[in-house]
Amino acid sequence: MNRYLARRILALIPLMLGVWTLVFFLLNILPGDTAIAILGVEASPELVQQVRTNLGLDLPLHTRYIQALFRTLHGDLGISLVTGRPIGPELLVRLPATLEIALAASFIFVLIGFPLGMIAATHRNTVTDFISRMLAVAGLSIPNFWLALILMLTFSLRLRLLPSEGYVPLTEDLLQNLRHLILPATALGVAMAAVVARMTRSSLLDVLGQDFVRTARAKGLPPGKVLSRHCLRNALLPVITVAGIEVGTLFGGTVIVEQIFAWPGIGRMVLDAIFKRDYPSVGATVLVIVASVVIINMMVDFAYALLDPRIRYD
Amino acid sequence: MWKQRWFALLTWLIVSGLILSGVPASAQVPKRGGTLTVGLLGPIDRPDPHANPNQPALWLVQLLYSYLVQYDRNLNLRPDLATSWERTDSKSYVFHLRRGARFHNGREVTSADVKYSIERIMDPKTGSSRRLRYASVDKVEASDPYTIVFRLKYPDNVLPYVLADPASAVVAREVVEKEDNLLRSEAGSGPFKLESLTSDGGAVLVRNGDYYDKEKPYVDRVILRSIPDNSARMTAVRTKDVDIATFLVTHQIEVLRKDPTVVVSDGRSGQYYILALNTRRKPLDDVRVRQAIAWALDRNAIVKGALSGEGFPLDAGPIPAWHWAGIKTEIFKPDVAKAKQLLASSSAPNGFMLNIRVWAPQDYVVDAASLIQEQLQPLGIKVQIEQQADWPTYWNPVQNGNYDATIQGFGGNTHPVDWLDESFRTGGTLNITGYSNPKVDDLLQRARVTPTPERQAEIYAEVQQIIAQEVAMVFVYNMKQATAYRTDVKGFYHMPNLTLAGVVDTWLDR
Repeated sequence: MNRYLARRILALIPLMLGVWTLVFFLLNILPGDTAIAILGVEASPELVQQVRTNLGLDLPLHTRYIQALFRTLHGDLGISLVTGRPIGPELLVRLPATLEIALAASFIFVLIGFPLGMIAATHRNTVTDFISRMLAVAGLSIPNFWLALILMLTFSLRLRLLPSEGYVPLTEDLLQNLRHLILPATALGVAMAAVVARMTRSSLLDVLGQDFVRTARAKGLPPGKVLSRHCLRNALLPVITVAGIEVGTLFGGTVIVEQIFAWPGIGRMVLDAIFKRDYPSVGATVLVIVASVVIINMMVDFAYALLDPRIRYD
Repeated sequence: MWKQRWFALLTWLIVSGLILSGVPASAQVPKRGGTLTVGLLGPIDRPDPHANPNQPALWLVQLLYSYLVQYDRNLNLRPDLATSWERTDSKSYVFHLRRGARFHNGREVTSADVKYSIERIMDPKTGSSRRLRYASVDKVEASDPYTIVFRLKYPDNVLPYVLADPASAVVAREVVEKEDNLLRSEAGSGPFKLESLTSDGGAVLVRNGDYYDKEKPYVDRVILRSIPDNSARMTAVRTKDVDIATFLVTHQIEVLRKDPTVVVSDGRSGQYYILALNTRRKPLDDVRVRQAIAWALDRNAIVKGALSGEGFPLDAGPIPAWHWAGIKTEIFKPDVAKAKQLLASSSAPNGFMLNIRVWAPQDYVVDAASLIQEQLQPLGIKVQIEQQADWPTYWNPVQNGNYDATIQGFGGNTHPVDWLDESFRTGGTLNITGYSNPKVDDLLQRARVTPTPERQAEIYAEVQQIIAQEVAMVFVYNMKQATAYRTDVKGFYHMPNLTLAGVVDTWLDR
């Protein structure tokens, strides 16, 4: 198991470098560069050239790539071309914010999605099932930015219960941190909950139809025990896969909600960096996103091993 | 007798009581202290005044630094580091510095610092977009510590206004040279000091206790927050998450006007939005085609539809009528018949396809494009709207002249020179349509050397008449960009050059 773990983690390095290289070249193919992005409409050709020289962008592409690669392999994430400040510290602040919201959103979708799916499956074709399925469809169809704005208008403006945007670090003030977390996490969690609910329902229905379940019932086991002892672990496998993918998208895919709630996460950071052609920033955030997604996938794989004793890694 | 005395006393008491109760309560005395929170339209990129800061960074810079002169709320010049100035001859300006103004690191501000700062902006290696505005300056002389003299290559009456530009900050040389950039603010001498830059693109400022104005600022701290989403920023001032929300446009202004806990400022700001027609492409090289388009547009409808009414139609020149140099009478009225006539006699009598590029995040531009599409249809001009979400992808072709038409705004304008020179001069840096008229070039140069404001206004009016008639660009609207603030925020005022200068006079009634 430990060898497996080591191999997976080592494999992470070429993967990160590969994606990083791909992104580097893709970004440089796009028209325009940092100079044009920073100068906006004031971008006269002469001024663009001057700024380009100041930022070191007039070096040939392969030179810039090798310099950047060298720097990155030494663990130096570089300096932002737009702010002139080192990227490492900036990421260090935004990473906890992203982790928090990923965790909180995951909490919400587990808390809502999973039970909703279970209830729908165990009360199939009843009113409860119908309502659960309607809720799931609603959660899937509602765009998260619309939900975000409705939540903000209701809880911040009308009811004055929660702040409308912003972020307070956990270490600074726990209560304020949580108050700022609730709305964005809910906006993100609801859509994910819907996906998980539907997946749980169909997976559980599948398992409930199996012979061994009929056997267990025939043996006289109470339905609760049938569910918990025999069904859930089997039903959870595909659900965890889906949940893992959903959580993976939270690293970099939360741009709109981050924008609305002014939440300083990585999603907004990488999008702004792309629009401003801030090559070092994009590179650094891509590394973080790749690492996060891979680690989450690893956790999903280990969860498999926990659930299904037939799965072994070595 | 006593009765008389009593009566006189009583009368006197009553009369003085009446008089005193009629005396208006004296103007409220500003309260000191407190923290003011301001919502900005985006993250601060770099707080270096000379290195092309973006709009939010410019807001920050203007509070941390001092200038020779600054704009007041009516866009006239007022003293800042310079207490007075005069024009000693047609090619020289003399500014007298105040004594006792100090940089945040404690050292007194002298003329050597002013000389260093201006020369830094003028140095091509700094890469400042403001460099060309100092093109008339030959030498900057700092012969005595409190006097600075500008010697010009040719007479130029715009120089003092250029010195009031938020990017023309006076910086402390030793800080710049040590850091090789201005990312820390000990280089400034402004009313606030930079405590820190926050990770979400904001900043925390503290009151400068050594500011030369001993009264101001009144607040102890200013927190700048980046809230890029327009709806969120508007909501933030309603929920008290911020005290002041900046850059509010179109329907946001409409919504806020209905909220009694919020004051919405006058939204006058010096930008103009145009439909740029690339004169290097057929049939847009034909002036009658361009005129047809200019006459076909219903600018009032565009202001109503795209801006929810929060803007001024530009039916004459690019400078809005509320500005001293704006033309007060309209040149264009929506006249489809006239437009059709013009097109019929042009090189494209049967209409043509027109591709209009727009940058997707500007919804007030995208909406305007749709309305223009409708309005040009009766002429047989088929408009295709091309939206781009990525700024460099959108702007690059425009910059290189590879486009038909685009709708864009040029902002930060306070003096007619800002509106006119670089956009309409042959080869100007903002002349994206390739327009060229030697008469206009000549007039623009003449305006700079004309001494009186009345004569200047006349020349600028003439320039605007020509560029409007020749349709160098189709002028569409001047959008309102308002600031909204809570009712307990006192003393604040909106600046038409969109800086936060009003913060210096602001106090909190809490």
